[in-house]
Amino acid sequence: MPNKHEAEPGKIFKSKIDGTYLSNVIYLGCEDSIDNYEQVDASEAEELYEEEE
Amino acid sequence: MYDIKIKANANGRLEYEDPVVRLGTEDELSRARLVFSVDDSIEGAIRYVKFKHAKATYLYRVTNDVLVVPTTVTKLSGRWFISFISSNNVVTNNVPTGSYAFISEPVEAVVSDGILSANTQSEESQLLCGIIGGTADKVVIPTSVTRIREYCLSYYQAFATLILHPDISYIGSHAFEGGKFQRIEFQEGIAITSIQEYSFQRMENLASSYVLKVPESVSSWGRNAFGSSNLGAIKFEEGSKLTTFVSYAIFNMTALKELELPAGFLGFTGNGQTISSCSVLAKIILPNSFTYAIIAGHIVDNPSLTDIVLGSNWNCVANFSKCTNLSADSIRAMFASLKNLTGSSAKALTLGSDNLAKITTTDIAVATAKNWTVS
Repeated sequence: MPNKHEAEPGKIFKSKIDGTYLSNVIYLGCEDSIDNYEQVDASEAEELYEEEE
Repeated sequence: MYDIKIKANANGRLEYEDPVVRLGTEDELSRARLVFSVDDSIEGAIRYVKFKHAKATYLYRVTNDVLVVPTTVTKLSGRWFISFISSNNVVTNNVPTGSYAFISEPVEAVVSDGILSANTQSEESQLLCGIIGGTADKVVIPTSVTRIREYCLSYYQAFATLILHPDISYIGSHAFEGGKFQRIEFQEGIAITSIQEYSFQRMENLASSYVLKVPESVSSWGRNAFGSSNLGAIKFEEGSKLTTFVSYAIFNMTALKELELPAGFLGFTGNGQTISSCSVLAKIILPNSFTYAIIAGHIVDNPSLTDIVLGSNWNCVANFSKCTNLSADSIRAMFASLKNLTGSSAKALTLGSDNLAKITTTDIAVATAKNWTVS
């Protein structure tokens, strides 16, 4: 079964490898490691949307 | 000056060389004159020529039996009748006032059609008039026009088909914005490389059955190129050179139901809202050529989006967590399409809690077994 990890409340996972923001629950790939991820505040992932004219 | 010699006979007939008196060509000026030789038995020293046309009649005084063909006559081409009049007093209101009047039998005369005043428009000129006047039901950009400037036909008011010929290389921003066009036809072989931002924005009258075929030459697609337009479907020609979308590339297209990006497409640039606010967009098909990571903000605010199809052997980080209405079948199909990354670095496919709640851990295991981290 997939290797599941949950972030602390208000936090999400972020890849240390490429900076990708994920969600608060991850199921690791079969050769992936939780060490490749860190927990960050969910607000950090809010994208800076461009304003349309 | 050319003399048209006419003899006035006492029997009332006029004699001349040609079958008809050829007065000249339309719009000629003082090129010919009528020179009368008058039979000695014809009395009167006050002489006239009467000209009669379907559109006008003129009476001109003859001096020394000569009259230059008047410009009022040569102004009207067609058939005339002329008559020679000699009297011992003036003619007033077409009525002789003296005690004697010779009036010859009318003879036929002609002013030939001329082309000096002809003003037939060229085909291209007519096209331009139709375009500028807003009356054309087909707006065919003339072939002499290869670059269409900003705002060229913005808010064009006629319900028309817009035809873009193969030599058009550039369409400026806002060029056709707000026009009431029902179709846009890129003619085969068109070499246009760039569709500038807002160029076809707010085309709200496109026919619902109309499918936009994007020429393969297009390599640049500006933001809101078709924003707020009533496009039901977009197809990219095979061999499309389009590889990226900027922010707001597909924005507020309220009739768009399905979008398939072309093979070779690399990804979305910019911070987000790339495919956004399309209220009936249900399906997006992404080719496996994607290289740039898809972030959560790229595909947002598409409430009807239930299906994202990933090209077989998909190998790009993607975050669809703001596409919260994906179906379980679509998610399973995504997992099936993922490239097997065992033996290489894992990549992330983020779907968000709403979507993960629709599937089982068994479904997720399909992805994780290929070394994809699902979130």
